[in-house]
Amino acid sequence: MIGRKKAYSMAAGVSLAAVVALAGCATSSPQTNSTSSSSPSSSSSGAASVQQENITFAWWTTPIRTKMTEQAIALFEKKYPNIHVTSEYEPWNGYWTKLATQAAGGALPDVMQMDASYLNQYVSNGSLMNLTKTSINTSGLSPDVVDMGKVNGKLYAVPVAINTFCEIVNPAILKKAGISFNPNKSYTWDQFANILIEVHKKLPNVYGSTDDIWQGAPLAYWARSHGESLFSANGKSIAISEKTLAAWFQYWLNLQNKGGVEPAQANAAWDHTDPTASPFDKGQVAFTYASIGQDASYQQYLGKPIERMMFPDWNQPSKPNILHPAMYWTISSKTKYPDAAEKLVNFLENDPQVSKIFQNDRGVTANLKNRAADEKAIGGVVAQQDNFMDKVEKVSSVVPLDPPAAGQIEGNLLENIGQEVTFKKLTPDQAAKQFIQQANQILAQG
Amino acid sequence: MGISMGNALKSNAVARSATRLASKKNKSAYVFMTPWLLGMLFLTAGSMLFTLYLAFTNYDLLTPPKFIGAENFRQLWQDPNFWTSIRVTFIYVVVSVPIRLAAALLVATLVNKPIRGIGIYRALIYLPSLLGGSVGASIGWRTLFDQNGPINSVLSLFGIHGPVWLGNPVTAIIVLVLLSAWQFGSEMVIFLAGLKQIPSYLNEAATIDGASGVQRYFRITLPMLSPIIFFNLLMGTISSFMVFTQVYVITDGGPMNSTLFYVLYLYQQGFQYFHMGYAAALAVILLIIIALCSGFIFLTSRFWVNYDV
Repeated sequence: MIGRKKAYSMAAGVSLAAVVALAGCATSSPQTNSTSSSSPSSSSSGAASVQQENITFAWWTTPIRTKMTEQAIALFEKKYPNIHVTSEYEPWNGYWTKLATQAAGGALPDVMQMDASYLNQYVSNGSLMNLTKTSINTSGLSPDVVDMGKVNGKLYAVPVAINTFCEIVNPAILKKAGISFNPNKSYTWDQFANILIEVHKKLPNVYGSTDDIWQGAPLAYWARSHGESLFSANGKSIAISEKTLAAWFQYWLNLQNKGGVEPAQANAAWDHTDPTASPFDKGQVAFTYASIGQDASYQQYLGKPIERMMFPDWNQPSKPNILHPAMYWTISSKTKYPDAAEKLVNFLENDPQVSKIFQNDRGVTANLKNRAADEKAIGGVVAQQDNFMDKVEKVSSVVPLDPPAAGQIEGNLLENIGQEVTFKKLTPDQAAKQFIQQANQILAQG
Repeated sequence: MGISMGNALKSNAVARSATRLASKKNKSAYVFMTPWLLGMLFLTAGSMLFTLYLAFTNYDLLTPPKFIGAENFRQLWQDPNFWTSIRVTFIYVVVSVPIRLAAALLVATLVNKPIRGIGIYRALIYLPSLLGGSVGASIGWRTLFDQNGPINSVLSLFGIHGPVWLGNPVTAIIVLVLLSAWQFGSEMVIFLAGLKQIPSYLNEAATIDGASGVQRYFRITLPMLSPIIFFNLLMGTISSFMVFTQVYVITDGGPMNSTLFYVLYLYQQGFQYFHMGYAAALAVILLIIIALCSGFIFLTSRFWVNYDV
């Protein structure tokens, strides 16, 4: 009797667990933001002869970017009433997962925002349309920038905007510390380190900078400023020498020991991919690294004006600064409506009104005429970003695209090995050896 | 011979009608099982078989899978992150499951009292578990253990300088174990049901014999509860091996891979680096590990689980 009762309670328990599990599933349902913006229905327009064309447009987003892009789409649909655009937007991580799944199922969106680190992959598997001979107008861009969208001489991606990586500064902290600083000067790496250490000496509660020991972009710059490069030209192996890499780890370790950057634990505690989590926002550090585009968000979170400076040692013949294609527009090779897709790309790329809406949210506008017009009309941060970019363009070079595995190497491997240096589990020499060995292994796996 | 022949025929006929009856019964059973069966075949078994196939391929989602034999498993063997994730996950399972069960049992014992309004207490205590492994609860937890968060503020009231919880490899995993312990609710409910099943005459008889409360708890309650403990232990172990959301949101594997849980690593390989074949191999190994651990728990159960009255 009791045995049976026990069996019942057991069964009840199992089903309860199942219900809990189901509830768990329900709460973690995937986040998809698929909105259909107001569509002009074909019946109301009365023009039955004009065929309605439905295209899908996908981009990775931030809340601000979602709003801007929806505005631009509304303008587009007003101009082309027979084209209906369905938006698909996700944050960065989810975007690539979804896009890869869609590619596997042969159902990519017609128009896609694309990143340099993924472009090679999508071109090599034939997912993208060759845009060389289409109606998309690229004459408003400088030829160097158009070249950034070419793979094997064919245009597959239209650069929306360009950016670069730089240091951003909270000038109020430097002023309070009584440090004279000129963001336009080309400091050496050692001079820069001395400034960072000086900040902490004068203001014990503030550190010079975030610890950028595990940030890929500054490391790639370090390699170039030492006449090397992080990856080999074909992207099949690591090119930076063990000595130069060990010196990088040593540079930041030295700063950490002298208060130039945050202590190891504080640095490991915040999510470095989330700009709202940065100690820069709270005035706890004077410097941090950012891309042009992100700098505006940092200024917003800090609530005070910031300044931009190029990484140290920029004024040298090797031109270690790079022009980076911030984002691209691409079209799926399987699109049913190539005409409509081309029209959308052309509109987003060249329409002056759209450019005014976008400002420099995606990076500094690639279309030069629009860039100049926005600068005049909007001024403020947009003008500052444009001016900075103009300066960088004069002393920068164009570098080959990163290999597909760069994300794994810069995102995961460098973070872990960098942290082991900050926690003093590895010496800079050991770290350099380990990084090169493991990164080469990842690159070999592809 | 003739008789046995006739008997055989007769019994054959009986057997046939019995099978007919049985098959009729089975048919209705199958009809009732259909929804589950379809789900099992197409959603679970199909995907599992496909995963097994993918484990022997190189698949990046964009190009068709390429068969590469046991190459993925060979690479796994040499992958330091694989071994790290195994170590981290085992530590978590071994530490967090007993703590969670102990918390659940303790609270179940406490709320198994005839106090007024006990139903409300039980519901309130169960609430955190409804949030479960959700993203919201995890973000809350992260904020709670921030360097300048509420936990450290409370500690500083007592003059304790709180650690940088998420920046330290040791404390980071403690934060995750605490979150798991906080979500004891479903186990608690099952324990509570078990406690209610223990016949009161056992305790009464023991009291008359002069057994103290502690003695009764360890000699009667725990042995009578052992089948439930066994069930909770098994389910808890399985789900702890598969923990993901909390880790992904709170630490994302850091610092220094000290919280690189197995499923998080599987996710990174599959959905961040697009090594789907490799991720499938990881999934297959996880299945084997869980099966072995469950088998082990089943084997030990006959030494400590008591099914008699």
